[in-house]
Amino acid sequence: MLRRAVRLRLGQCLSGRGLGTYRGGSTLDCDGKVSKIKKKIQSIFPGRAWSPLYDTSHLPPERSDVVIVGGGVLGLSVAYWLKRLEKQQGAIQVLVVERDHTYARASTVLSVGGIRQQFSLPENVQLSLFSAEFLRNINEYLAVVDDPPLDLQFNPSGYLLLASEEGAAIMECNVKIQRQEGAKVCLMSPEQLQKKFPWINTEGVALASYGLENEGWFDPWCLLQGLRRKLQSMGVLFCQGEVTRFISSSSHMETASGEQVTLKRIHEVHVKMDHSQEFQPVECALVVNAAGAWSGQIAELAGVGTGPPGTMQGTKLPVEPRKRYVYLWHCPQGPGLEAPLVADPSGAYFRREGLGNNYLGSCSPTEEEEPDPGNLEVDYDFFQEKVWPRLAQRVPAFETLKVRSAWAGYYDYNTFDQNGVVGPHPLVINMYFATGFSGHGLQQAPAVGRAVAEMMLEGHFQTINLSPFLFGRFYFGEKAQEHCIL
Amino acid sequence: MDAFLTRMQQVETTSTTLRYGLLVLLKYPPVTAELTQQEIDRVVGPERWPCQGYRAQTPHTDAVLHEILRFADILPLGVPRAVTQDTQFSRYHMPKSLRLVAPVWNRGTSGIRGLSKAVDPEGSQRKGRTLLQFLTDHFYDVEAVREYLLRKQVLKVQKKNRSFTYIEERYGPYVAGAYFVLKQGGAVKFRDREWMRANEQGLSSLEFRKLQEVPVEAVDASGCAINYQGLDNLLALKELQSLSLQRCPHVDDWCLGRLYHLADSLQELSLAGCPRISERGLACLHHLQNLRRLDISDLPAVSNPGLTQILVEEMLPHCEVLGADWAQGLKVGPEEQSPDAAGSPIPA
Repeated sequence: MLRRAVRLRLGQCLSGRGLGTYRGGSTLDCDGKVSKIKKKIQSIFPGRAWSPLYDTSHLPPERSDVVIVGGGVLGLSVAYWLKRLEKQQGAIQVLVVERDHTYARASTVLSVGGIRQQFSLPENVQLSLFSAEFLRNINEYLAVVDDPPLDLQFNPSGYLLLASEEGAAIMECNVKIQRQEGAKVCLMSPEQLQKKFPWINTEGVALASYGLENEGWFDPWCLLQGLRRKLQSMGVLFCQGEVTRFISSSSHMETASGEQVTLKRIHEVHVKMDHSQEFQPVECALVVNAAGAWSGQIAELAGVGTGPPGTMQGTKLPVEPRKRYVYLWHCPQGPGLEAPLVADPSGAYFRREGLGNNYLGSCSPTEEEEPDPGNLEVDYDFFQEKVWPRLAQRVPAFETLKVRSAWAGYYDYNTFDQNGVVGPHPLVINMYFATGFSGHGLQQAPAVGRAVAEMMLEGHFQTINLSPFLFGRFYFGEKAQEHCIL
Repeated sequence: MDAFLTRMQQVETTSTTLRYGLLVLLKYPPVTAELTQQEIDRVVGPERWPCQGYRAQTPHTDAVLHEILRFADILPLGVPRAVTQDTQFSRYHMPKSLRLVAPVWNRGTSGIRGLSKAVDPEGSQRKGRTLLQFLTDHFYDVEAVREYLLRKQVLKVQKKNRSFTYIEERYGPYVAGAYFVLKQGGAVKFRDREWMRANEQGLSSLEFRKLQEVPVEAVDASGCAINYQGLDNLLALKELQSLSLQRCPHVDDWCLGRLYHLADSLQELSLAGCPRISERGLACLHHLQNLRRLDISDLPAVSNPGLTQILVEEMLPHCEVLGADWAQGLKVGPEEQSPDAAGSPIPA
């Protein structure tokens, strides 16, 4: 066996070169390679220092029951609920793979941090309601012994959505749905609006809906750190690396109607380390795609969308990164402490930030004006041309303001219907999605995490029925359109 | 039929156990059959029959038999028995012909008391056991104890804040709210009556019957453990004029977001000393347009008390806001420091 080992190692060392170099003769000892080989051979003999085991502490484990691609708030929320809903303590091994441990480009931490129940789909309202309850009791859900309680810095100031004449009927309809689900929203006429918030210019506003409870904004970084800390205490493994490959196996099956389908099952996830070519194949049973703005790329790696267009196999995941700016400005005569997050019918929105008359806000660009999502550079001209005029028209005090700073972040934008994708893929049977929330992912993350964990553990949704958000709708063309997108 | 069933009961368990035993022995030949067979061959020998007397000398066979009985648990319940005379067993006194059924299975180990029975059945009755032994019987880790205690504290607060639906249905929202406050240790003032506090005898239902239709005007819940859930009881008091939530440890920004329900009637509100309220929660008080007195002094979580005071005063123009002095938190400027420097004596 020793002789075989020696021959193997010799073979490995010399395989790149081929026999030709030896026939050449005089270039035998170039670069000291022969002495290195001699040292390696000597180390195999007993009594020398040859260790067949090398240090893998920087690599993720070799196998894990669940691999969650993406360590943002959605991925961590799925991990939390998996560990919380598992039948026996320690039954499920979860590995969270995050490419960037500084979260420099993650949508979670660059978000404005708002939470509202004013949506047009009842499922969205239910998701936000549960998430508000989660955030309210966050120190019971995410309690870790000996660690200080979390302070989310929640501002319960509410959202004020304004509607023009055309949008008033839709707004009334939406408010009815929201109230049915239990959200506390009130409708205000322009006169009531002027009385309550005298700094608003109600020209062009026909109706306003104001969220009274469970709406406001909070600090997303605090939520992320709280989840991370709790997950570490529950035994979830974190690893910094990039998912580069999925090893899967396919089986050809026939549906009840006689159609041929190819079902895929992912067996291994290749996680590549930062700044190196080293990768670790992680054997897994389930994969969760919570990669946010880059979910489309991960889905392509898994083989989603590789097929003739017009079939389920050829349906891609329609989530792509869209860049959105957020500007911070100072306005000494601006609205006071009572200002909610105001959203203009034109799409511009702003909210108060802190006590020093600073405000945050922006506007979603139209399809033609979409900036290039290749980088996170801020375009201040966009503020000058698109955001400021709209804000100044709505709040006259904003005519004199001074921009302090700005940043840009990605929306994991679902180009199909701007709502999230949850649940398993019909053909890649062990890949689950939790992505595509187009700007309202943070506020729905706790509830979505629970729904996906229920789907993974039980096979169906138990608390909130998110069947309108399954992947199949992209193939069947059933849009679950969300109209109130900021 | 009865005789047949009785006969079957006597025979069924034994025959099924035998079948299980043979199955187990077949499934694990190297461990059990060979070793057990070797042991029996060695101890009993080929000439004699194995019997109960050899049990002490064949520990492996004994263990295998016990394991088969544990594994193939046909009837986890002991057969009912009755005592023939009055018996005293440890702490229990059993009169004659009391029927006893001994649960053999581990069904009794569910729950925190059962665990100790599973680990050490006699141990819990022994006197003089230390706290550490008690804890090791019930918890697997120190952290588990702490999590349990933390959980108990949270549940205690939640229990205090439950809603009294029976009282509300029977006596109305005013009495339910008053009962809630009195139970927490606060004081309540009904219209045209004096302040009421819970006394040592407790709360008598006689008074409440008289007060069904009388609205509550003032509530003093200082120091009570009211939280978001418990606030439901207070928000039903639609004619409440004065509310004092001083030094309440669980009242936070989320609770303040609910106070808009009392906007029509509330004139006086005191939040002094609440450790969890910050300026973000105070921003929701703009709904209370009838408020005339607001006390926001001594709030440790407010980052800038002076500035907050100014902003709250601007937000509620008709309200008198007691709190920090506006100059609090301002630093002394450079021009005020120079007279001190000029006044210092020049050393000789």
